[in-house]
Amino acid sequence: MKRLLYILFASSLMLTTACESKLDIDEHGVLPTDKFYSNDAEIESANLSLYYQLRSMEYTFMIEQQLLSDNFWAGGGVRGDNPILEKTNEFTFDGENDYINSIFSNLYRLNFYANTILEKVSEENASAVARRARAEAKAFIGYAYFYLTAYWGTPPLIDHCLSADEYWQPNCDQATLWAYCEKNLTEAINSGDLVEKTDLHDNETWRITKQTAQAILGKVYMWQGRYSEAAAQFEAVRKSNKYALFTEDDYGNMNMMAHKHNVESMLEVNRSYDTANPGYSFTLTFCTTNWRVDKMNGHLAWGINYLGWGFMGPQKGLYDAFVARDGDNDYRRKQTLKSFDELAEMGIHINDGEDIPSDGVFMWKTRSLSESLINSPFADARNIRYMRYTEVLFCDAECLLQSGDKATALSIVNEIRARSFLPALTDLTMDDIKIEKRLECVDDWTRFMDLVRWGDAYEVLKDQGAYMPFCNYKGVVTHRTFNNDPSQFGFKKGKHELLPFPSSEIRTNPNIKQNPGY
Amino acid sequence: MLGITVIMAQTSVKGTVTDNNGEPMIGVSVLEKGTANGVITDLDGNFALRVNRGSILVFSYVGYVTQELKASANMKVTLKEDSKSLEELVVIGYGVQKKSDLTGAISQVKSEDINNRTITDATQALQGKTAGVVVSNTSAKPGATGTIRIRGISSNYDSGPLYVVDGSIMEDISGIDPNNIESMEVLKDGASAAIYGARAGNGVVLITTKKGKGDGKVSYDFQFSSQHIGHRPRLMNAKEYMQYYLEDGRFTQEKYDKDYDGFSNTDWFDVTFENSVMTHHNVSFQSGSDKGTTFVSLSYQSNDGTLKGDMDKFSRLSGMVNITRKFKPWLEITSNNQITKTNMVTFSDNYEYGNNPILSCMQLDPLTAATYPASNLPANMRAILEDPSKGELLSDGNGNYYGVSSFMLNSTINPLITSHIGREAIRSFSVVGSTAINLPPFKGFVFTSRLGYQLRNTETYGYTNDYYVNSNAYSNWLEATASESSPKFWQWENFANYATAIGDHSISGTIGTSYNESRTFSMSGAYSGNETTIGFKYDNPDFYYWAYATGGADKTLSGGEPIYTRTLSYFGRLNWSYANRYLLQVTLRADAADTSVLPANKRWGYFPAVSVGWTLSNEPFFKRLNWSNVNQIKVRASWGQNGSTASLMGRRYQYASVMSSNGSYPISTSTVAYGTSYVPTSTGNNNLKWETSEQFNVGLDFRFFDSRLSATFDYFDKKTKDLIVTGVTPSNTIGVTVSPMNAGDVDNKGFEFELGWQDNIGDFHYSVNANIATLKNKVTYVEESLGKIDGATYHQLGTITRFEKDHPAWYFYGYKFKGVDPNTGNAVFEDTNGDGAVTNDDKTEIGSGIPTYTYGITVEADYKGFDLRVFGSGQGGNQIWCLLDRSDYAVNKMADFVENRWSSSNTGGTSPRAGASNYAEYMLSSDRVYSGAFFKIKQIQLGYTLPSSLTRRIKIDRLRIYGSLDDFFTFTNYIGFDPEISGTGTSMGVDRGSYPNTKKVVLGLNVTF
Repeated sequence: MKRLLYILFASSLMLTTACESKLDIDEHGVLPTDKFYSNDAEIESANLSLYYQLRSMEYTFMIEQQLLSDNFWAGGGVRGDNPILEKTNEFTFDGENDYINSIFSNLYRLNFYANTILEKVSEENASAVARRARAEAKAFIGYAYFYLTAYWGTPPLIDHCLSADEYWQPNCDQATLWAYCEKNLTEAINSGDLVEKTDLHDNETWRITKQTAQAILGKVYMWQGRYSEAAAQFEAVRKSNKYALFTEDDYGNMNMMAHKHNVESMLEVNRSYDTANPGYSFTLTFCTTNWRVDKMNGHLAWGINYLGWGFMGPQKGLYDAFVARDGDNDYRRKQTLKSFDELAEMGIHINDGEDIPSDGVFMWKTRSLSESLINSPFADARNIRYMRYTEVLFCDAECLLQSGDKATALSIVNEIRARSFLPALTDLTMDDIKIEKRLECVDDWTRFMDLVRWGDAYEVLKDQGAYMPFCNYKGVVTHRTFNNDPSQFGFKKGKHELLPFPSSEIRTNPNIKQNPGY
Repeated sequence: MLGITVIMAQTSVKGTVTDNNGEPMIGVSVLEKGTANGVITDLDGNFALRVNRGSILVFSYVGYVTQELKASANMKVTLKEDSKSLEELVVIGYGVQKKSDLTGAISQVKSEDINNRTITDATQALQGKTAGVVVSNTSAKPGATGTIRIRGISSNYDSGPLYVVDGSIMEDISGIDPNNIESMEVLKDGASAAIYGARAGNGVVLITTKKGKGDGKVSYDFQFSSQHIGHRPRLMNAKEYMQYYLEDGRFTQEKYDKDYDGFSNTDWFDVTFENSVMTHHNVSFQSGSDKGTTFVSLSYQSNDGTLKGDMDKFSRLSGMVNITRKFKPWLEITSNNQITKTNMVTFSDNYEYGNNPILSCMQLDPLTAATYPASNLPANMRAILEDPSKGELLSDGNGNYYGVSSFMLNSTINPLITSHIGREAIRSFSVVGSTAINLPPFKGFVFTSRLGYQLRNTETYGYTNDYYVNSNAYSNWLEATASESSPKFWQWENFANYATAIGDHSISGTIGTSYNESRTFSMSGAYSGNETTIGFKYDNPDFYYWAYATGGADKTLSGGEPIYTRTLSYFGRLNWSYANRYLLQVTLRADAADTSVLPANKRWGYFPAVSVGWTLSNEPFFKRLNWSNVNQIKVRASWGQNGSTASLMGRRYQYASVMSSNGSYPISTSTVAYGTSYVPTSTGNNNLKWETSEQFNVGLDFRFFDSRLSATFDYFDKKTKDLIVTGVTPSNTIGVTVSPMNAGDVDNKGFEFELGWQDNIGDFHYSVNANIATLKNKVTYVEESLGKIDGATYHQLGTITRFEKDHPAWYFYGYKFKGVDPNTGNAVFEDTNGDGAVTNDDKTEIGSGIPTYTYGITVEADYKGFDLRVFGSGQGGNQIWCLLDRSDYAVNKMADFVENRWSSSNTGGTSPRAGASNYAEYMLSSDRVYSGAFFKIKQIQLGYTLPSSLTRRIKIDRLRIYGSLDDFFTFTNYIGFDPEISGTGTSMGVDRGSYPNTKKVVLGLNVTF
């Protein structure tokens, strides 16, 4: 009996010992990192992460840049509807602004994916896919660092995937950063590995092209005031004959679903009208435009999205700028903005007795339509356009003007005006460029950047936040005050030229210095 | 020999055996010492026996102290319950130990403190009953379970202890009816817990369920409770609300004239809550002898929560079958099993965004009525009703529509709408238990092979109606979600216990192995309509099932993958005691985690412990002092290490850097075609290892005056090292998720004091038990590459709790409120870093959710059938961050927030003006941090046991009726619902609107046949 027990005891110990191999449990649904970049298909999958990252970051990237400008109000249904956007719009934000912080992290994430490709895909790999992936990675590093440098001034330079002992990188001086942008973009452009459109009407080429990289490089030069070098890049784009001004449909329709990758598109994020996978097209971007639908009626007849939060309402100052330029009745203004009265004629009204935080102006050029919604107001098949040829032309005109070629600059601006049946200008000054670019590039997210670059931001934005306009159902606009301490709102010199580093970065990283004033 | 027996004169003895309370005891074994001659007492406790003159009789009964008395003619024997004796046994994990031999800090809660309470979850019984155990709840909704913290916050996120039920490790003990628990032992010090090694870092709670006792006993317990919501926070009324938002600038008088009916002044508490009922039935059958024991029980508990409608419901039907049986002198089988079925309907609370009725009832404007008749709808509701493109305007079916506010355009919605939008029901079924074979081949040695098993199944089913409130809260379609999950867990343990005595040396040892595996297979999915199709064939709850979805409905499905987790362990323990004076215990456990938790080269963790004790009162010199009032003095000291990976929160393969798809990207304009984007999941950390808690404990035990007075004193210092930190961002520039790291140390130390007194004055018996514990929690190290770790966030206003060296874990991080600027009415904050400007950098520690002291007191008294029990518990030194406000929408506010606000006519106001420019920062300032101290009388129970002479006539042994007030009186300065309920984990002490404890009026009945 006893012997049996001992055998039982001993064997049970051995049984459990033998189990240690059972502790090795393989993870499902993943691939090992070291062996991953071994063939073209896998390299292409890693390459796609760059585009997927652009797709993931579009909403905050777009709306923050728009609301930092004098073109838009934070809007919404009531005061307080989106405090982050109100703070952005009124320059009361700090390093806890989630949206600004997300742009910062997202640009660094884009940089990380690009660095990963450069580290894992060997330079010796001769396959076309591998070479293109490396070239695109460099182009996107240039893209990410253009925005990081322009917005944050001295962000850390992260030129490889960091190991644990390298997490706390210090601020980097601007000259080094600009040189880093130039180096990456130049290498990408000169590699010969970036794609180009087959012809002007090629709407299937969706990857970053050589011309797009040239345009980004041009902006890098332009930001540094190196106008002739910048103009050379922009001229190269213009003379490639792969891009043109959009004239296939009404001006106000160029952003709609039917015109993906049209002649003006330099860089955009793809979406598909795919009813099987509406989730692939999730975005908040299009719900934020229009007006707050709870408080309006008559819009459905115009195909306008039945959901709208109205977080990006045009300012009267923008409307007035159109009127001051070309009168109250021109095609370009009407295709860009609608007035309260024009909407009333169309049968679109604010509900009786209601008011909304708005100047009573409606953004038409980026209006959100139901036609592209995929079973949900949050799934929209429209592409998101990151860069447009018109913007490149304005950059070109500005740099040409600044470097002495006024004639070409004037012809470029007049070409753009002619598209909207506007009379040609006879002379061109920087002020003309500033005004024309503001009116044409309402949907290009560049206004705040331009104001800072031109040194105009303080004058234009110093009082933004003093009031919020409320437009009632009769179209009467009243101004209400929410910030009563002028030292606490509006663009401040020496501070708002740069955005704040995220508070979390300041808290954790002892080597980084916050930008002045934050 | 035969001759001698014949010579010895025999005599007849008889007598009665009663218990402490004078109740006759049935089935007591009466044995003539040294012989096989014996009987068992009858129904009335009587026995009669012929014995040799002058012989000794041995009276024994399971759970009572065995007595030896000289045989006499008419004996009156009183057996004392074992629990009151020094020789009480304490469950210590893979064995039991005499309480007098303990060298660690182990607290015990016995069935008297668990039974007849209104708790549904056994863990709640620990609160206030043992020093150093804090039960914190994020919610007191029906079916919610608490989080237990033993000796502070040690692990990073999940600081819950390990539960071991009858030897079987369990993560979920909510299936056990508290009335079926015999005792709970809390292994508080590191050395006691060390036998559970890698899982014991946050302490261990051993639960022993009831075993059969006596000679056939049938009991029925019944409890009926009527409950209602306790403290209602004071809010602004309609007039105050209107004035506030006029000052704020958000609304104009014109808006009120248009949208306010002029008389509504809705009390949303009345709309949200109602009185409701809890019931509890428990029937048990038991018997026990030295051949074996049987305990069978069936119980049913139901709680229809206090929210109106069917949003909060819980019911549990559970059965328990516990059997031990000796088949041979060398073979015993024990089997403990529970079968449980629970049904729960629930909703989300402690949630700051909108659709949380607990928060909504505090934030909804009083201008909107709860319901409006169809004939008198406000304009905004008429607009919804008339617009077919919008979802449904919900009504009660009798022509009354649930009120939709035109003042708040967010997802804070009428609780009546919340309760009709949809429902989620969770049904689960489980068979859990353990069956063991015990083989004692020779004296002192027992080999045990024990199989633990848990077969669980949980199904959820829920639907969401189409409805419309505003463009932030609507659905144009229906959705039905369902899931099924069947985790299966088994654990096989083999261990041997050996005990022997050589002279004055007692030596015992335990050695064994443990292996467990869990396999979970689950599937979940949803069918939903979309903006173009409602999704189901009819908009009628009878059709809200997948089977009746339309072809155009959207489908999602996930799961369908088996998930395994395994652990392998070896353990051993050695006890030595000399002359009942010197005690020593040494423990070692080795645990290995599987590769989903830790990398293979770091899987093994070794957890040693040693403890010593000195029973001073057993020293010969002490005995010579002849201090008859001192029964025991014992000094204890222990050191031990325990482990944990709980901070990984069950997420798997966190340490591994692998390539994973993060999405699909369209690669064509003209056709629908996708490419897959692959990215590295994380930085990877192949050095991730067990987090280790190292604890030092010293203790003193005293017993005085015939053990009527007992006192226990402990000091502990618990250092948790290599804390696993997950989800941290050392820098936003890294660009990828950082894998978990062993990156911090936390220190918890404190004193614990337990005091008990019991005595009789004639028939009056009373006892007082009190305990108090202090706690000092401090982060002592954070890995350099992390610096400080951000915790919880609030709305999109940034980080509100942090983990930083020299601060308590997850302290409140915000601005220090200095006052109100008399010129602008805006809040003024302290410039803590003195740089001349108030910026984010000036946020600092403004409170902590960790109580620095906790206490409990239980007073019991009984007199001639009457019994009274008063139990209270409290805590202090902690703060609650009252985050029940919003700056973005026109929410109603607590009166305390606004009563003395700055306005043009009150420029000396102490709260900022309505609509202050920095109101959002103000909400996150020290002005909204309140003391979390409270004392709660959790139970006042008065019972009466009918005289047995009376009940015996109707064949009832014992009949007790009682009434009780549970959770009835709370003493606190906190302005919210309930200071006892707030966030846990990184949100510890943050109140975002949690379901409060209810006040209960209880009637109950205990019957034993």
